[in-house]
Amino acid sequence: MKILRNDILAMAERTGHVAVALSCVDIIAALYLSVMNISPDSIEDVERDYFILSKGHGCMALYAVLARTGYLDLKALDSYARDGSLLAEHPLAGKIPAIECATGALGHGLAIAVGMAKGARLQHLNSRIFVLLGDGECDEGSVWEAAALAGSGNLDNLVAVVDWNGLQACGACTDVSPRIHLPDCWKAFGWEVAEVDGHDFDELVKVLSRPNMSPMPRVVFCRTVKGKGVDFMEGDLEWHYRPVRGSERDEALRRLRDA
Amino acid sequence: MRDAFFSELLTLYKQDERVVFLTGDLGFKLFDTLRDHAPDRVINCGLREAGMVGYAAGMAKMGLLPFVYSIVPFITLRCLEQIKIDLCYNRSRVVVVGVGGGFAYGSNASTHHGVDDIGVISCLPGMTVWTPADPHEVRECVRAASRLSGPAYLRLGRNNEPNLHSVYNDQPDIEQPLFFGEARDGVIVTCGFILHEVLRAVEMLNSQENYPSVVRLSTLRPFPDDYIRDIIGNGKPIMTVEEHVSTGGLGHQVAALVAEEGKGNPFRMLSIPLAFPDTCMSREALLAWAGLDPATIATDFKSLGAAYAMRQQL
Repeated sequence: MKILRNDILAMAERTGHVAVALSCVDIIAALYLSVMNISPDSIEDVERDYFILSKGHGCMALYAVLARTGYLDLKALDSYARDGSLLAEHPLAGKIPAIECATGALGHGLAIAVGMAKGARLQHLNSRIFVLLGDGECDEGSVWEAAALAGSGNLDNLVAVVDWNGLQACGACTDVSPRIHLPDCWKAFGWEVAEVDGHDFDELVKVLSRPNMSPMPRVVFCRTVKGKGVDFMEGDLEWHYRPVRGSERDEALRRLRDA
Repeated sequence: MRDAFFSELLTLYKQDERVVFLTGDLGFKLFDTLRDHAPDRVINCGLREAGMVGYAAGMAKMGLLPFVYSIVPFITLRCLEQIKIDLCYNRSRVVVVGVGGGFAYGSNASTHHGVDDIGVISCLPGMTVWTPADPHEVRECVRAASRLSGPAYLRLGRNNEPNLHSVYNDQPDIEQPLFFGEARDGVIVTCGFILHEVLRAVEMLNSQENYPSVVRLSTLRPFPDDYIRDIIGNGKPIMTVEEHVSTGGLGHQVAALVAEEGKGNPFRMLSIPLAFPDTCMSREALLAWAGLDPATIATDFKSLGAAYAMRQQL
């Protein structure tokens, strides 16, 4: 996992959102390395598993995982956020086969994933759909439209994963929405709710691989730390925005190595 | 138009198992026949238009052909970002069907009028925009859906619009502009079911020895630029008539081409004012309020022609 975090820090020289990527990278790695029925060779198959990064601003984590698992040329990471690159600060549409759809405007990915899960059902495809949302993203009303739609279709082939780091762009989620306890909300919408340490690879694999217990879709709340792995970034809102440059970058790499 | 849509959709639904019908809790009893045929491909998504459009995009990604249905303002502006990103940017083959374009919902008032949909939807790259003029053309749009490679917007009226094509053309081609008349005194360009009012205006003009041609466009995206440039070529008066505000609509696009061609065509654009009507009105009353009733269309065209004739004499 340190390799992936190193890749993220290298990319983060050019853009913000480093803490976002460090928060969710273990989840994405667990999905691609051990949970999903997918491989670089099967990417053209319709009957495979699918992943949607609804929180598109965490895409440095996705790019790093795709590059280290053979879906993307490792050298492509050097082009991240440069003119002419196919790796933008939010994933582009239709450019990289392993990236199912463009995301970045929040609150879109869950509805798409619900439609894919329903589509797989209607076409009798044995595919599971995984979608990663931010906890801040759950502010969006369209998330709840999609959460309700998912409840009507026996979609036990759908798993939503929430990167539950407790921080959104300008403050703590509990300050922005003091009365909202997200797992209760999802439960009220009829979802199966699970919880896991979002930085414990083995636990993530165990919980995410488990079949749903009921015919309902499942949401897995991953307890994460925004900026995980670089101690001075952990839990600091600044690093939602700041690129990692110069001596700060050297220091970040050192802290990561020693962590 | 609404009945023609459901009747043709039923035919397609029976032929093609990829067709899925999603409604935002509208169309009471209208989709029962679809449900009777195959219940699992009819889904009432409830009053969740944004969720419904994303849901349709996901289904399209898995190879299905979804139609999403609601009243024009709710299936366009309310879920515009989902249409832009989930359908247009991600190239999802989904047909967005809006019932009640223009003033079709008359006395239901401004919340239910669809007078800004074309301009807004036409801004989105990769969208096909259909504005059929009568029930025959609606059927052609539904048939064309399986040939699409990306999303489309289908703007319906309400119901009881007359079939114009039994008179003018029995097999309408919605992709091609339809030209009728001899253009002796100029051309009226229009789109959608207001064609009916335009034809009544033309009858009035004909009775006064004034003979404009009419061009109806039923596909506004892609816009038939070359065709309109050809019409401009004769330098005669051109008037546009649309049941939509001017911003982003038919008139602005034709005006831009008239300006680019520089042939000096006298030009007038008839459209809906940028204002919310003050009182409750039927569609007929609203068209009169907007200056889009047949009598006003005829008068406006005549005065445009008079200005042209005067210039020819100078």
